Amino acid sequence: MPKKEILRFEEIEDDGLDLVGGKCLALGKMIKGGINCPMGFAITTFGFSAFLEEIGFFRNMKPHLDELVHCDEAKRFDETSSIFRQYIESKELPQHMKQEISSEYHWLCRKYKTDNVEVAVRSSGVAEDMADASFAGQHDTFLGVVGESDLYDKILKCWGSAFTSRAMTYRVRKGIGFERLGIAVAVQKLVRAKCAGVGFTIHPITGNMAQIVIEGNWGLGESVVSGMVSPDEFVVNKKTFLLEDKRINEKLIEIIFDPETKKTVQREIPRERRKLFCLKDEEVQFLAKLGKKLEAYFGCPQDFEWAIDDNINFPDNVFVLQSRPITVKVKYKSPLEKLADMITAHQFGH
Amino acid sequence: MNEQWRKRYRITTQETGYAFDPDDDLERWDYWVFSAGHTFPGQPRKPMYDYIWMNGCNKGFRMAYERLCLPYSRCGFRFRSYNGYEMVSVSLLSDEEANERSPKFRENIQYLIENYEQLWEQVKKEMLQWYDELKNLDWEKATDIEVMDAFNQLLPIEERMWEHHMYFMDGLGAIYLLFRDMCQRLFGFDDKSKEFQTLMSGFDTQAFKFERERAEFAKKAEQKGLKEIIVNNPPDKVLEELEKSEKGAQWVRELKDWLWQGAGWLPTRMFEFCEPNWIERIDLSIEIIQRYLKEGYGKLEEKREKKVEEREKLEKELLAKVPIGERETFQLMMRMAQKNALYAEDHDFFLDMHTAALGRFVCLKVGERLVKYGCMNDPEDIFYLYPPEVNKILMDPPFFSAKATIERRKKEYEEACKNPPPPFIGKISLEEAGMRMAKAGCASFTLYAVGEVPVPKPELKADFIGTPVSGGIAEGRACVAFTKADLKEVKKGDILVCPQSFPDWNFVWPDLVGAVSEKGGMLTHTAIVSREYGVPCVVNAMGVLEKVKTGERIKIDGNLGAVWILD
Repeated sequence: MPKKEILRFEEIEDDGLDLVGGKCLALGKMIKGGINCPMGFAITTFGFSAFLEEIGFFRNMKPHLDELVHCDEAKRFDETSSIFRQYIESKELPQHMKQEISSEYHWLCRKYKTDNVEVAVRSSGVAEDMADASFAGQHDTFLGVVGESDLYDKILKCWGSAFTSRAMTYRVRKGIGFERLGIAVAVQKLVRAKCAGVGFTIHPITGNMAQIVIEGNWGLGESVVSGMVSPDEFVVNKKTFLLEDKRINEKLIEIIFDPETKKTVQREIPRERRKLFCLKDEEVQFLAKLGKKLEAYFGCPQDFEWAIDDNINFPDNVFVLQSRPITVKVKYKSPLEKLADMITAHQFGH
Repeated sequence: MNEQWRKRYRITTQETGYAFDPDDDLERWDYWVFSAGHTFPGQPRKPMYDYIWMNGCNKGFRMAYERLCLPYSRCGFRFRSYNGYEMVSVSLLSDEEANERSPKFRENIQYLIENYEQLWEQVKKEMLQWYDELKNLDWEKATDIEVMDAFNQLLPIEERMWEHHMYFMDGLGAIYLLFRDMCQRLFGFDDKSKEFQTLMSGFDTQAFKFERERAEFAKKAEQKGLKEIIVNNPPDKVLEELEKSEKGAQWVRELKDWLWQGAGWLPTRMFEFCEPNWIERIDLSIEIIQRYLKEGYGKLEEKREKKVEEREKLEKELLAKVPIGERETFQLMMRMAQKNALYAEDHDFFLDMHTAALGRFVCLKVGERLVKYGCMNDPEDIFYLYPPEVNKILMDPPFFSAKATIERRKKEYEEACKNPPPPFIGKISLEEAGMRMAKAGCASFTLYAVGEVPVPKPELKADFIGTPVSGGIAEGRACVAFTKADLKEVKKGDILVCPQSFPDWNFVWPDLVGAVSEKGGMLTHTAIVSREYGVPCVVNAMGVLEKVKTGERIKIDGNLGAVWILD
């Protein structure tokens, strides 16, 4: 792939992992595969490297970097992380980059026929330390970002997340240097979600390969992803797409983007919606079918984030925001249990 | 739908409670298949057995499916009596219902896999104990009430027997069907291939155990110098001659004892009470012992040991082709599928054949008593009565007769023999019915009773197409056998042609070069024994019994499933 600093999702090729990170690569693939994803663009690792070069990061931070490599104290990592992030966030994006980003942002606004379209800004990592799901932290996802100024600010913050103490500890321990810092940033139109959540194309706890699990809450998916709420749970048979189980959880909080104030807010869910299923059966089944498609497309079980927009008709309002291979540890199943699963699934093969 | 049969059909088996009713049985359901493999045209069941079987089997299936909770079927097979002929259909549930049932099924099938050996031991013990109670009753001294109570055990025994029977057969069968499909997927061979047959062979069945024990009698006879008497006389004369010496009489006593203890509790005709059991037909055992004395025993044992070797070698080879993470699961699946093959043979002795033999025994004891009281002329007449009628008479035997009823029933039976049902009665096509039966997932359907619908192969120009179950080509003289008695006609180099065969026919296989049956599937007796003996075999060759006569030369291909008449 040519080394550009900005790439639209639809321009991402299969060999673009080093340039755009796992999240963006998956988005590129999904869009190519005809999956309904919100549009957007990525600031590449190339762009990030260029930025670091321009602000003289490695030159100015060298003493700290050298210390770290020979250091074992967690406290030192924390302090250094703080220093690095502050340094980056105090800088400004290079002028040419601002122009490019602005140009892309306006493209996105035109696409969605809105001035100052609301976007989600997320970091998209390349190296294993970034790909590990448990690495997800507070510094790498920002919702409801509106306007260029806010966008530039959040991009800097995402870049800063390359330097969380956890990420740095991992690199030092593994002997990976800091030269090739693979952090890209995904800028994606935010879905005005009436409900959102996650999906697993195998059962994340039992490992049952014949089931798809969908979890959801009202509003934006962050409430589910962050573990803030106990979502509604739906279990779907992967062959027949019939619901095998569904469970309501009392949903107390939702995160929504307020189009008036152009801010994301966290608020209490009105009483009448707390014990209401956030998804209709047909929506659950549609999501399950989407999940199965994703699994087939990527060639392995997927953990995906979805959102349903309240302004568009079903099923065009169902979006996939992210998809990645499942990293959840599956409970060990004995041969006896596996065999019982297989025999049961076989009954439906007629 | 051809409605000719409606003109001829007058329900005479109402008392079973399961008489085929052309109105009710087609009102909310679409089809019924004539189970000719169980009740061949011209051989309908007599009232006594019909009642016990219909009630026992319908209930047993239902209870077994309650325990298994197969997703697509609530009760498996449904049976009706068309004047003693068996009609069958399979209940099929919707996708929604199947989905709801699948977690329960999963739980139950796991339980069965985990506990199969134990459960089967318990069942054998439970049933044998129950059978012994009836066998060991002092029938001479028992009061009429005690006799009635004993007689009334036959129905609950039958119900319980069928419940156990189908629980294992369709439970293990489900695993067998999965294994069959896995072999196709992983290794590319199907269940008709030599490889699959090898995996399912070499197991020591109850029937083979009995044959070894029977052979011991041959050895003992030789040791005691009785060989000449046995070999040089026709079977019925042998017993007479042996009784003349103390040695001989002792040997006969031991043989009778051995038959009473186990091997004799087999009927000579499947699915009926009205033919003698092996404890009565001692001449049948003598016939077999004569063969052992003349030709020696050991062919089967040698073959079996070789089969075990072949199987174990193949198992190792195949396991190496399975991904490491899947091996344990695959091995477990394979072992359970093999247990299914073994169960297919063994259940005959412990379950349905035994209860048939026991039923005859008990009915005849009751019949003898009724004859003594003058209620009927012949103990075997009791087979023309229904159990509630037997109770009715037993309540007050000196005052009541069953003779007129029996006469009437005999006439009805004659009529029934001449009027079998059409092969299929349905509002839908036979194809559609076949698809529904397959979807229900009853392994007993696919593997045993009806067999898969053979795929037409016009290019072969064969006279009959069936299911290939044991590979190889054979040409020879056809010998048609409906009952064990007909096996007398078998000559060396013959191809056996039968509606189906039974474990007590095993001894004839060393003489055969091939076997063909009208009905059946991969795990029916004819298939299993043919594979054990390495003899080509085609089952489910529909129409073969009508066209082929003993003496005609035929050719069979056990890989293609084809049969040709050569003359």
